[in-house]
Amino acid sequence: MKQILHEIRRALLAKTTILMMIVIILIPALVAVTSISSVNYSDSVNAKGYAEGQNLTFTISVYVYSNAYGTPIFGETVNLSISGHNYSFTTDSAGYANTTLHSYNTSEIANSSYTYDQVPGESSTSLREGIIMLKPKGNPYFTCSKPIFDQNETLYSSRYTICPAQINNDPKLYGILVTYQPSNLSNFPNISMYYITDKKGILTSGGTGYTVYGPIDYLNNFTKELGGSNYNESEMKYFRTFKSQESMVISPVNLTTNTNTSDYIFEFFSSNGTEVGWIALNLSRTTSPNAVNSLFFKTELPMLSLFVPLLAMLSAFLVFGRDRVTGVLSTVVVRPISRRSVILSRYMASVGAVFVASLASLGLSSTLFHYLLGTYIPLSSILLSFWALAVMICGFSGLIFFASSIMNSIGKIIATVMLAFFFFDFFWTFYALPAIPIFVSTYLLNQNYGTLEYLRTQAILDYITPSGYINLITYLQQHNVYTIGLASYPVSEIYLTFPLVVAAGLLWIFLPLLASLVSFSRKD
Amino acid sequence: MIIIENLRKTYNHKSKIAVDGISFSVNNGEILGLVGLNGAGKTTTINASCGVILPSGGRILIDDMEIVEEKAKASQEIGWVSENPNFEPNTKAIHLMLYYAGFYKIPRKEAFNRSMDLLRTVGLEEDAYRPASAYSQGMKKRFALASAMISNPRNLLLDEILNGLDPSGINLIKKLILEWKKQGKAILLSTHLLGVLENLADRVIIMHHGKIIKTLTNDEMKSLGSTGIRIRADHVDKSLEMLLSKYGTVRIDGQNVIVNGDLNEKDMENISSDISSHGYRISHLDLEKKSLEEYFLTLIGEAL
Repeated sequence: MKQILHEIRRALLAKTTILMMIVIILIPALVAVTSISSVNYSDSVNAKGYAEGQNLTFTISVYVYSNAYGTPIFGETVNLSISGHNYSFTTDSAGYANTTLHSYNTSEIANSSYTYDQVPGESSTSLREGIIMLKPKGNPYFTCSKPIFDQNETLYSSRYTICPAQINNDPKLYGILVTYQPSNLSNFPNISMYYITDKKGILTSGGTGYTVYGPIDYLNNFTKELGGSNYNESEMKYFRTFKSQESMVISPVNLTTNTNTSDYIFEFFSSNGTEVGWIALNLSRTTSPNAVNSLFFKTELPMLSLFVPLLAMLSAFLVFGRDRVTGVLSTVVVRPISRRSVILSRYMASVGAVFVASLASLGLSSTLFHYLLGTYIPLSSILLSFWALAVMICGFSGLIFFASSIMNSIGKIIATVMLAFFFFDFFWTFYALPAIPIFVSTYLLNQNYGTLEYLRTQAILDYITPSGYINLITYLQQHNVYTIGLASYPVSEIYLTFPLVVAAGLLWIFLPLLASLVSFSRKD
Repeated sequence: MIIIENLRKTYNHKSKIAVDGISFSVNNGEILGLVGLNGAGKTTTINASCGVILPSGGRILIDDMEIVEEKAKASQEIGWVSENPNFEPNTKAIHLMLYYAGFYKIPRKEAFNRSMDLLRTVGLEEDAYRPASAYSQGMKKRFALASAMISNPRNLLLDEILNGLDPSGINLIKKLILEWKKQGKAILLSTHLLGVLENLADRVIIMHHGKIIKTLTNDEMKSLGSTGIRIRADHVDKSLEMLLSKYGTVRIDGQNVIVNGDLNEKDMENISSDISSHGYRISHLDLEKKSLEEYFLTLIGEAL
């Protein structure tokens, strides 16, 4: 056992192995980080339309902005319907579509509505909203006010709308998007933001990421009740004061440091202490496990399928092939150990080293996904990927062990490693350059892309090389029905059944190893 | 004890037979020399005998255990030094010794003490914490010998062990080999220089093209060492030839007469006075010692 541990330690500490392990661990992680940073969250378009005027002359303004970052949308067409008439106008660089209408009374303006595309240019995503009437030159914080319910409460309509928003380059955290309806005001007022930790469980009752928010509906005497919990406004801490603008994203991310909670209640106050809006927000953003899973299979796993076979083969060469040719292995073979045990211990050391690197890579990536997106890679995907990687590691290691046991030249073994890498991995299965499968299907067999025969050939080619196992696993994991172009086929029709894939994996794990064992034990 | 029966080895279908059905044995307390030119099959014989390579045919018994079928057991009593020892890169000599000791289940402390003793014996104590792969060729040979002795095996297979050593190294190794012989170990020693085995080997097997062409005992080797007396007289005739024939085999070589036999300094004096008393004048008289290497080359030449 000590000798096997020595072999494993030796395999792990070889400089080339360390270098390749760093590559295996870091490159897929970097790819994951890059792909994570490109994730977009509900980046749809939102709009606020309002009208202000009197004596049959009204100014209509529709402000169109990105719901994710609060940035104004330029060139968006807004269609206004008023008393059976339609008007189209386009947003300017500040995100405003403005027009002045004559001959319509207050009632007609108040009942008008407008449409805009939530996805610019796609009319199927069109949404209709009503125009909000503003009182001329009204309160800078509220559009109107009137007494309701009882003598102590007053209903206000705030000019501020508050909701969670995406923070640029930090997809795991939420910011707060504040939009302001300035109407014809020339000077935008300041608002101050206060916060308090949500210890009362407003957020936790709704689960992680649950948020409640809205404009202020009523004021009370410093004791707020939200979701059944009470908290004292006088205990709120001051965060910052902002100049109001049409839209802005506030990033209260520094609140998440040095604290165990990311649940906060934020309130916005006017300069004279009047509350104008609030939001209860869990600052941590979580991405769904399915989205993380999909990202992992599309970005990281192909990178692993490129580098893991290379490391497996290099490790096999260093641990067995090179030592056998240079005579180092003979200093072990001469000891009281069977030849079978010699090759098995070296094999275990070699694949063990790559297993460790692969697991470290998967673990680091999962941690990164969690750190950046709030969700770990699902355990089932980790296990499935590890099984696929294990098949690749054992398959390619076994092939090089076998080649090393029948070749007596370092040059020949290195050539075999390079040939196997480029032929059976890089040009065969790496998603950016699957030249061999395309050549075989399209040029050798004259099969058309997307046909059943084409897919069957691709599947057979994936069975032929250990690196194709990643593809088999991906198909099985992601598709019950394989869709290519306009055609769809049940995976079983393209030889992708669970027993077949498992059998192929077991064959790739054991066959090359057995060949090496027989060759080294019986024919050296 | 090492017994080799009808050993054959072919490396692949295209290559010549490296070893072609040889048989011999090395008894306990015996040093057997294996001599031959490069490619004669010495290294193949030794490597197959210690289980480093697999034989194509025949049987090899180490202390009555078959080296292929009972590899792990048979290897317990084998110490092997390769012709060109190579060791793991970047591993210190002492760590390698401990690693090798692990195969024999020697407790770590004992293994450490034994390793240091052996390294001291072969003159590498001060280099114990250097990577063995960085040693000079001579140091590698010494280290290989030390590592071969880690389990104090009963059978030693030493392939060209004296090659690449300086004179002090050669003397040291020869001394150690003779000491191990006294301890009753069976020692198989290969070399391409027959002279090296003089006063060392009990028997010598001369190999050529994978076959044994001659087996010599130590006494036979010694007799090959002093072959005759070279005489140059004023004239050479039948009478002189007759006169000298009583001392050994006479051969005429131009003006020289060579007398071959088991001759010594006393014989040389007798020949000198005998020839002079018969009226011949001697211009040159010399005891001629034919080297073992000449004998070896002659033998190989005859085998070709």
